Amino acid sequence: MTSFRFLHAADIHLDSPLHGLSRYEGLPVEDIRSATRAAFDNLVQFAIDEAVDFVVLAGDLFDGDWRDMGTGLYFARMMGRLNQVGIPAFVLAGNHDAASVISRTVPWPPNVRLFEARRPETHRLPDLAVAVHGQSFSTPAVTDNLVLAYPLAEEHYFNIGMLHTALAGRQGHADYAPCSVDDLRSRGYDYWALGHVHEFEIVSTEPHVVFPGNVQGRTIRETGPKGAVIVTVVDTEVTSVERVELDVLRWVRLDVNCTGAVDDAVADLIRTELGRLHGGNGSGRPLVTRVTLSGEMSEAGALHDRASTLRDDIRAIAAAISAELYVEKVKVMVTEPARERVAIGEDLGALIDDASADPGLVAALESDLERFMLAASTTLGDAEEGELRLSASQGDWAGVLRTASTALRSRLTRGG
Amino acid sequence: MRFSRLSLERYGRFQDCEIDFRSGNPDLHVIYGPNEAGKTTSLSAVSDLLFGFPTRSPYNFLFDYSLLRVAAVLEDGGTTLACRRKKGTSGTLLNASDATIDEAPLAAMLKGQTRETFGLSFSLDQDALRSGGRAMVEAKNDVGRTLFAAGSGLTGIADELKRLEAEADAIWGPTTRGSRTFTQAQRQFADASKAVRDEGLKPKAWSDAKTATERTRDALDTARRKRDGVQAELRSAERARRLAPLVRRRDEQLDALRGFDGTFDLGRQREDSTEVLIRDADASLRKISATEQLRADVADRLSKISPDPDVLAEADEIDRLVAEAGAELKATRDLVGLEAEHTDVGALVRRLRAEAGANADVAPKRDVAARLRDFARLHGELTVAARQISESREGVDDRRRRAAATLAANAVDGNADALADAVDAARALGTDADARCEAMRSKADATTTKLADLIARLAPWSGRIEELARLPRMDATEIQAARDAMAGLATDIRREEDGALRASDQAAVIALEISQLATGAAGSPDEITDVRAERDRCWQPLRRHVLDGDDLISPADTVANFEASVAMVDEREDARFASAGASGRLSLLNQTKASHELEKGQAAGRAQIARDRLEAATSAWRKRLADVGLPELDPTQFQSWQRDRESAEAAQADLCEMVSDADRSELRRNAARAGLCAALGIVDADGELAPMLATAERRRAGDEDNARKRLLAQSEMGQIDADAAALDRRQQRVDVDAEANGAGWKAALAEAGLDIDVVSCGAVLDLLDELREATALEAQLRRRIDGIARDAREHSSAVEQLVAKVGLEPGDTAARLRTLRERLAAARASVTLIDSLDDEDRRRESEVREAQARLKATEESIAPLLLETASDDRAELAAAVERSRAMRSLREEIATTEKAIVEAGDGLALNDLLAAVEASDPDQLAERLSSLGSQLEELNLTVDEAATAHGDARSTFAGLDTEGTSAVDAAADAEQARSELEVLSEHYILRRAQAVTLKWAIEKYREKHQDPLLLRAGDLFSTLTIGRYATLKVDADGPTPRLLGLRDDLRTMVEVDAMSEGTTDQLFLALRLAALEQSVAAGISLPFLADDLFVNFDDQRAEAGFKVLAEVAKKTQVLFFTHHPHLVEIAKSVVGPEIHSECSLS
Repeated sequence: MTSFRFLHAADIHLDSPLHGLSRYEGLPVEDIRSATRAAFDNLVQFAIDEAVDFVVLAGDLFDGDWRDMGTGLYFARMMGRLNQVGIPAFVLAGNHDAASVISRTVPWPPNVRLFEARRPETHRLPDLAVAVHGQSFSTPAVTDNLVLAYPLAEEHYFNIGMLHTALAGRQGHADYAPCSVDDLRSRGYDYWALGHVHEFEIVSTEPHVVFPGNVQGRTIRETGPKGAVIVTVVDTEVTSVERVELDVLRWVRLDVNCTGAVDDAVADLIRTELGRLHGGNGSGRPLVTRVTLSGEMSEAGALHDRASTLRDDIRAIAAAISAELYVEKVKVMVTEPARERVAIGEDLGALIDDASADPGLVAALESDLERFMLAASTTLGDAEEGELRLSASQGDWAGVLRTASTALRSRLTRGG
Repeated sequence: MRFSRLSLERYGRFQDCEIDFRSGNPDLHVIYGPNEAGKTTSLSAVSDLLFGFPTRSPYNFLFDYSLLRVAAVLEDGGTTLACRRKKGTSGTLLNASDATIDEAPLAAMLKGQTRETFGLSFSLDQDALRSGGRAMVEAKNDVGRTLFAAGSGLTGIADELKRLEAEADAIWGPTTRGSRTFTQAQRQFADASKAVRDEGLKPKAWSDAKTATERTRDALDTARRKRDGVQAELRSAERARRLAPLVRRRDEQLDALRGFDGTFDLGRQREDSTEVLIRDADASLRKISATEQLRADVADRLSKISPDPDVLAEADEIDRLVAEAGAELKATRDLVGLEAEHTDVGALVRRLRAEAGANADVAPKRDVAARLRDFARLHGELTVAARQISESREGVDDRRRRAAATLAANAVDGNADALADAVDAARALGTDADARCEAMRSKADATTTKLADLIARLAPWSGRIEELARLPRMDATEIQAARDAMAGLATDIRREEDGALRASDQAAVIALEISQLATGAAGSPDEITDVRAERDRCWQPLRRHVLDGDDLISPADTVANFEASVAMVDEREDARFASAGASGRLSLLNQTKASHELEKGQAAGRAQIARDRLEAATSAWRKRLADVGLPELDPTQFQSWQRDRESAEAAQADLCEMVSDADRSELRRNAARAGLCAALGIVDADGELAPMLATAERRRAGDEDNARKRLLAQSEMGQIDADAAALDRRQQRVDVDAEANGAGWKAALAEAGLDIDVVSCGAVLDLLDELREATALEAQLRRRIDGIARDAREHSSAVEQLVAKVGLEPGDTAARLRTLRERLAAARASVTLIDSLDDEDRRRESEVREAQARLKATEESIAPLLLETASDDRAELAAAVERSRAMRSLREEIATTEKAIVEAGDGLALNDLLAAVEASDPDQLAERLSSLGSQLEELNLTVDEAATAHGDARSTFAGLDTEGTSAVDAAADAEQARSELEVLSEHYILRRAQAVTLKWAIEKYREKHQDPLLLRAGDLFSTLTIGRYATLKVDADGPTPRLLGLRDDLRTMVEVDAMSEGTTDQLFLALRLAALEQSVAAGISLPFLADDLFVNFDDQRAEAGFKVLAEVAKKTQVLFFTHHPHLVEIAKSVVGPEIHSECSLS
């Protein structure tokens, strides 16, 4: 009876920086810089410690636009460590790797088996009776269904298919190498080691079709535990698919419902929620959280108005709770309930209330921010949902003005 | 309300001047008059008509106040009011027939306006326009405040706007500034991005470096291969050259070896063993021969030795005697000393015996002797004690005598206690009692002097201090009241005098001004009155002539006089009219002057009254003082006199107290001194206490010393008695002991049988002991001397016996013993030598036998070798061995040579090497080597270069893989900066949106709440500036709101101060007209009177001005006074000739 274990990972994105986390005192800069490497170190160490029989990496080792060969050499060193203990690695090029000059240049150690891009290729481990089939991406955007060209399962072998794909589509992921689970089934393989989707997902168990997710979350869009899966095969049967957490820093969203809270209570509310978040963190890993303040509250404008200091305040609160609790951003999404007339000069208040509908004001604001938007667009990428910059770039000036007038009204009421 | 007609019936220079204002729309009328035509007068007339004449009107220069009349026909709605105004305090509004009419209809038309409000709002000249306008823009009047009201509530909001803008500006701004957070983050982003680009390891760079490493390694390998080929060839040639001599040597050695053909090869081992055998045989032979010789020598030596048996037989006895002879010798030497010592001791015994006399033969027992010694010692001690007691008794007697003398010398004084008390009492006053008395007395004296001075200062009052005390005391409030009253009066006098002086000065100044005016053309009313009176006087004859038919004395003269007087009046009036201002001024000045003179007179009068009152008050005061006998001083002086008096009285009080103190002190001192004198028993003489106290203290000290000495002497007497008693007791004890001792002594002496006294007892006993010891020593010495003599005799006898045995000649014992000893030594040496030679002979014999055995064995071993080598004897065998060895050595040399060839042959086989050497041509070899050497040199260089290149490439390549993560770090930093930028952009957009919204809201608010007055003023201003300015704005952002002109570009805001003079006038006019319109709209419709307002307007703006006025004139009547004909023309062109209304003041 043959039994073996292998480690399935994907979307390493080595040395890809973490997004959205601006520097502030207390933030572990070095840890953040080296997060993807540290997670990959964990992966290699895990493979060695667990003495897995081989490792499959289903694409996107490197970011496509990353051009530091140091990253490739680091990867080669890591593969070298596996080589020293006799662990083969099967590596597939994904959309990012296809564009990566590094993956074309990196000196692969002998234990690394690369799949070519022109056609599906099969590597075998005769001792284990394992056949690994795969095809690398030849270009960053492969829109063909590659599976159809994969060979049929080899008899008396445990057949593993490696593919970088979003299957029939996964939210937030480009629709590369589209295929269906039935397409996969049609090859008769025992295990499909997929990559590309950064969320862990066991799509099917007959056969096993698995997205391991990426190894280290890099943005607030990649929340929760990250790592790989370790697959145990006994006599050509998959007996277990266990998730292995390899990340060194974990992203998490924290929604704080501020409904009905008055200003001072908001800080307490946030402190409580952050404390709960920290208390519930059983992983022992540092948490990077995005705090979103939502709900209806009469002082919504005040929160909008002091969004800049609010971020510092909440970071201080988080730091007080734990030195390993960091705040990525604070999103103020609170809204005002239908309110009575404001206390400032009635007319002025009414004017501010009506401001967002005034075309003259919209034009003035557009003109006012024109140069800034240009300056910002040269540096910044796409804005996120709910951001003023997104509204501004989409011409939704009324939306910007609504937030502004809410904040303004609060400011004037408070000041006056 | 509007004027339909204005009549200046008698007003200023006007008389019966009528101006009609036709009704029309616009109700604009230009009243033209050249300079001095009376525009200002007309304007004033309007105000006087509407509101009454002021108390002092300057327009009475032609007509008396009572004659002044202004009339008008006023229309308001459907009402028409014809009225006239005269000067007066009441009932000044008249009808056509000079009858007073009710003011109410006029007041109703005026809608509550007063002269002032009318002047401000409806009557304007250039100066009023400017001052009023300035007041408006500075919000100093109601209109101004109204203007700025709309913005004022937003000041705090404007501050908020500034804060918002500042907050946004701190994030980002259109101009780059390092302090802005967005800029900073942007810079960090750019720096980090650059670092990513610069510090990352480029894949191509890495590939290139890798390729370069591989390429250079190939090049190095190639170069090395080439070099190795040449090197191998070179090595081969060098080998041939190197091996050639060895090969040659081998050949020679092979030739030599051939010369040993037939030689038996014994082999190295057998050669060596054969040689050893031959050597051993020879050695054995030599050994046998030498040993035999040695044996013969031994036998010979033995034969020559003879031993001494007799002596040897007595050897032990000889040794004993020899040993004894030493002791004998020493005893003989000691004997001399012993004899001498014996003699000395004998002499000592004799001497001691002689000394002991009868006691010499007595030998008392030791215990008796000891007892005798004790009794003698005790006797001595008792004797000493008795002597000491005797001496002590003498000392006690001496002390008793001295104490008795002391007691006798220090008799007791009975007065000592009284003296001590007196001294204590004097001391209680203190050591400075005299000085204190003195100081108090002198202080009292000084106060007396001071008091005299203080009394002297009270002049003019004089008298004794007691009299002063009797004087009544004036209350301070009374003095102050008198002083205040007089000071008040003095102030009044001074003020009034100043007032008079000032009035006088002002009158003088005005007089000077009057004289200056009078010297000009100005004529005073008096002059007019005078010439008019003259004219009336001249008229009277003519009047009487015309009316009453009186005759004229001189008609021509009368008429001429009248005409002259009329002309004079006209002339004066003309002159006065011409210099009406000056005349008015003159009149005013005269009045003012009179007023000042009146003031002067009144002030002088008031001053005099005050002086009188002051004098009366002073007299009353002085009388008040004189009545009570106080000096007649004015209140101020009296106040200080009063203070001096208080000082004097205080000094008197002090003096009394001091004198009393001094007396008390002296009394106490005198009492003390008297006490001392009494105690001392001397007569008291007044004076200081101190000398007396010193005497008393000395006396007291003496008394105390006496008492102390007596006390000591009495104590000594007591002690002396005690000591004497103790001595007596001791004497008794000694006496008892002496008696007992004497009895003991006697008994012991009898027992001993000695004849000695107690004093010499010790010495006699000592002598007897010494004698006993000397006698014993003498006997001991005798015994030793006798022993030595006996031993000497025995020794000599023994020697004699031995000598006889061995047969020596008789002689000295010592010499013979020496001879015996020497013979014994010789005999013993001979025996030893014989034993040694016997031993040697036996050993030699053994050696001979051994050598012979060895020789035999050797020869047995050599025998087969002789056969083998066909040698006849050992010599031939040795030669054969030599040959065998030479042959074998040659073979070894050949082997060595071949080994050397192989060793130097770079690992090649011998035959190959020999063949290679054979094949090489020695002549060409050197040339070949040289060529290959240079080739190798070149190739080595090539290899070095290639190795360097490869090393460089390899280190470059290795240097690339530093495991550094600076690019990764920079990418993370860039991402962090980008994140910050994202956040900052959110903040910036929010802040700007807030700021823009707030600004917009403020603008909207202001627009909404803009005062119609400002809006209208803005419109008018725009019209007046021909559109150069669009409107007016209020900037409420500053601490105080400011009025700004918005230029036609709708952006530029111009402050009032920055506007030109003409524009400023236009602005002020716009504001005034807007305010006017507002008033009109509010129902206050009064005519607007403008006095040449377009002075600073160019024609275009003047035209605009008339347009504006025409517009205003649609709502209320406008009367425009000007002396500029061109303005008249412009007005005409604006309103059109058909409705142009022009009036003249001519």
